[in-house]
Amino acid sequence: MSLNWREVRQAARALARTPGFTLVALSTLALGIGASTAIFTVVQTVLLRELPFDHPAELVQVGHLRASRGPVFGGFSPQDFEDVRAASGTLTSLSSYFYTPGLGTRNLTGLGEPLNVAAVMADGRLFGTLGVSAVQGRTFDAADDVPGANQVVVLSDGFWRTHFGADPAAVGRTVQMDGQTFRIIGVMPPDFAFPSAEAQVWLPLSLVTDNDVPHLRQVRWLDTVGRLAAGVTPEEAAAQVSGAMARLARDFPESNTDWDRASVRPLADQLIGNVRAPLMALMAAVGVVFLIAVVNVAHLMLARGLGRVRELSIRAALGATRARLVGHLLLESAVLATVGSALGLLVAWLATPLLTSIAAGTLPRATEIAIDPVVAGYAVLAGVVAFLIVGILPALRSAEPTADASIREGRGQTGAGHRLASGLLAAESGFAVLLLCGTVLTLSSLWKLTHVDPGFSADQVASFRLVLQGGRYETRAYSEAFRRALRERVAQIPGVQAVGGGKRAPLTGGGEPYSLRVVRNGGVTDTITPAAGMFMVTPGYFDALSIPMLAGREFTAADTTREIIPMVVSEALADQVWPEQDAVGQRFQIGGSDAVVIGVAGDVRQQSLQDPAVSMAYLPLGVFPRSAFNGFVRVAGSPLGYLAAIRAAVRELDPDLPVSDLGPLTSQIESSVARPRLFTALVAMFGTTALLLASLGVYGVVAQGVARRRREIGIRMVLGARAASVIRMVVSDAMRAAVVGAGAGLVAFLAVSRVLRSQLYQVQPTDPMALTLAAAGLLGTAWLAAWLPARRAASIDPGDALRSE
Amino acid sequence: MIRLVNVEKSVPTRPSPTFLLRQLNLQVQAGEFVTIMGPSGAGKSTLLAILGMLDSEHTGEYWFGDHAVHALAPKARHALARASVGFVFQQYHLLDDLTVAENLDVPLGYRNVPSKERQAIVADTLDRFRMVGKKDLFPAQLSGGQQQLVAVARAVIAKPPLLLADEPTGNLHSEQGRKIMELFRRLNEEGTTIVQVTHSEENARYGHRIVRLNDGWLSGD
Repeated sequence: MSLNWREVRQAARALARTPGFTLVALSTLALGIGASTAIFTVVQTVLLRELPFDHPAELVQVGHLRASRGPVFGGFSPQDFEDVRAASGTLTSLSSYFYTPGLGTRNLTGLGEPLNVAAVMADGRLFGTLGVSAVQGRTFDAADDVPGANQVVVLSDGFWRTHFGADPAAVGRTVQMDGQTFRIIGVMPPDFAFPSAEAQVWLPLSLVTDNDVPHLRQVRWLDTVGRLAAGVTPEEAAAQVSGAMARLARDFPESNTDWDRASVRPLADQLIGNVRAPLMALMAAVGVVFLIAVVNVAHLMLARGLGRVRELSIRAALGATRARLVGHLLLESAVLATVGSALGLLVAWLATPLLTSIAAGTLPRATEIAIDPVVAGYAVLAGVVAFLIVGILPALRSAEPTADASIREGRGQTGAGHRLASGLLAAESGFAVLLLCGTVLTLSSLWKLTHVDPGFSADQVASFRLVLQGGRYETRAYSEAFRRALRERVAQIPGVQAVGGGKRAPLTGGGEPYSLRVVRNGGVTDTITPAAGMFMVTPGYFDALSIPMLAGREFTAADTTREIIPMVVSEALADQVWPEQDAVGQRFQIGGSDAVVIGVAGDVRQQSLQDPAVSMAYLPLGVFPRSAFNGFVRVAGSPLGYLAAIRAAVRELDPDLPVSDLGPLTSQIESSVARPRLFTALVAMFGTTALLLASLGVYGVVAQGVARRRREIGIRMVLGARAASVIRMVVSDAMRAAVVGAGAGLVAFLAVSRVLRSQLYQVQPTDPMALTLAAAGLLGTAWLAAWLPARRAASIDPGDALRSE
Repeated sequence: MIRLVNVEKSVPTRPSPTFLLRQLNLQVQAGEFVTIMGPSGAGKSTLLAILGMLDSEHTGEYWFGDHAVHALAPKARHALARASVGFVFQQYHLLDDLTVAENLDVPLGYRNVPSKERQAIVADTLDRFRMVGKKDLFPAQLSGGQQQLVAVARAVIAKPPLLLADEPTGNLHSEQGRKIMELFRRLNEEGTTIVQVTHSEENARYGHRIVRLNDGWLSGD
């Protein structure tokens, strides 16, 4: 079989002569290839493209491996870190940093509106370990990371562009943060987002003093990043670090018992986090959409080929071999696949800005999402796969020798073509059921997640965040007086019903890991650690968030003493410690102080909506002051009408204090489910597309079948067939294929359902109700898609049908 | 059995409709064997379609026994046709994907004849038409004459009182054609009323009466 451009031109001309067919085929291919290429663009950027660091495969994160809790990352004390670093010969470099999303912030003034910036506290080795240089100025090193020399700051590219207009002269200028002056020494490259895209500035770690975080061996707050020596595996590095940690456990049993084993994982795992599973699930889902689209076009090609039997017979009579006929038909498929692939790439390119905007804040590296040569290669590969499916089977079938075989076998060639069409239809139905199962399950999961009772009410609550640190806020009395004055001012705003606050907002993570010694009958009997930790809150906190007080009372302005610390416990903690007794009035010891339970509050989901409420306890923020302050204001009506007044109340007290995240608390809850919502939306979109494409496939196959069987239907009607039996005959043919496909799709889904398990909340991936619903949805839609052309079959005029023969 | 009163059939054309049948009055008695003849375009097949109740888009009256076919709702008309009329076509119109036996079974299935009874009727018909040895063959494996034999057998298997045949020997050579016409004569003698359309004077002689059409008008009876 030889190929020349004349034949290619003929194939293109043949396609141009049937614009309807060509338009539908190209649109379907562009949709299938475009959707899968667009999602691959995200996968390539987030999972496959190398991190923007020097030799990123060598970079690792070092953590603990505890028998009781598995790997724990992000937990070294400065002392442990230095000891481990000194003994880690398998790592050419090991550095540390401190960053807590939402809490690691600094108040920046002097650039117009006061700003609360996300600051990463990094040691002087971090940039060297990562192998990244500044694009303007320089990064800081060990010489900068010492008291007296550490008033320097490195800016992110985004912060530099937004607040300095990308002015190179920004380097060398100074800014005020928390009342201190810092010199800007550098600006990082645009793709540098370490440890997350939220980071806006990097400051020397030595700025974190003992006052900020106790520098004790048992207080573990440093994250690590290291670079493996040449030829060393993470497991070998872990073995060596474990040796050092075992020595520390022996030398410091008070603080290090049970902290004697290390875990080392690639840095990419940390930065990419838990998006790998959902992204791969999405890739699989869009791959199925692609396959359905391609099978649809294969249907069209098959019908086109069978409709050209006369042309092909003439070509055969003129001497064309079967190979030649196949080649002739394949050329058209090749032209379609090539143009479809190019259009698919165009669709992906057009979708990229949309994907970037919806992925921002929910996926790491979202700002880097872009078409690159690998993505273009993927689109070409998708085109090749489309060509193989769209071209080969229909071409082989259509170019089959006609008269001889059909006479010998006693059956028409169209019967075989019909069987192939039914097979393709079954495949489409199976693929669609596969996706519909995922769609129903994720929708069910999202519904359950968004209807979970978090233990508090966010309706009619405005929230905001302040960071009371630096300057006069370093004085406990001043910061407490500020909080009290703010509560009083906000409470005076007409319509405000309750005001309170705390170090952390609900659904944003755990509290501080304090241990409590339980006092029974005057003596300490046991020690417990509340599972969610301890939370520092102000008076009004429970009222503002509508957290019910089940017994006793909440904090008041009078709860300021450390002699006997007042404490509120959650219902789960009360049930755990005093299952048969009233918790109010019971005693604990915290550190060296006595504490008394003054109230029992309802359980609250603190970590996230997915995580169940666990035991926790509350302490008065006035007694345990913290710089981070999340305020909650319960109002009459919509919180949006109160935001300006709340901001003004802060301004009146301190015009230089930035107010962050001011808005309805419901928005925070929304953002806490943004990723599952995005995942569900995409899966549902793919599921709907799959259903639509499969329905079109059914419609097309049945409509073609009706056209092909017009004479047969006419004969049957002449022989006495009723309209209902004609409809039943036509529909049942299609439904047989759809049922077989749906069954196969269900079996396939059950085989792969475990990949979805981690993305589901309170829904089993094998939930029979959901799977039945998915299969019923497909079969119902397929029935409708078959019924429409079948109705036309029943209205065929038998006289006309037979006369036209 | 059949009475047509002022039947007219036209199709919309510009500037004025084209008439296929004009003011047709015709009676066919039960047990008759009537031949309709005329040149191409005279309206023979149109008349056959109306008689077979496939075409109801006409004016005038069509009485089938006591039934006013022209006034029947489609469902009732189809039911009457199913019970009363068998068709034989020039192109045989066998179902290609069904065997001879399966083709014979089709009309019985549409008349809700129980399965066991159907098997017996099909076996009896195969025997009666001497096709037992060919029951498992597909139409494409039969000669033209054999296919038309199957078509006739299928047309009468449900024992319709009226058999309509449109050029039944048109695709057959003379010997095959004679056999089919002998079969028609035998069926007529057994009580089936037959109306055939043909160009062949020889075939017309098998019938009792010739009705001639010209440009849609009845020109001789």
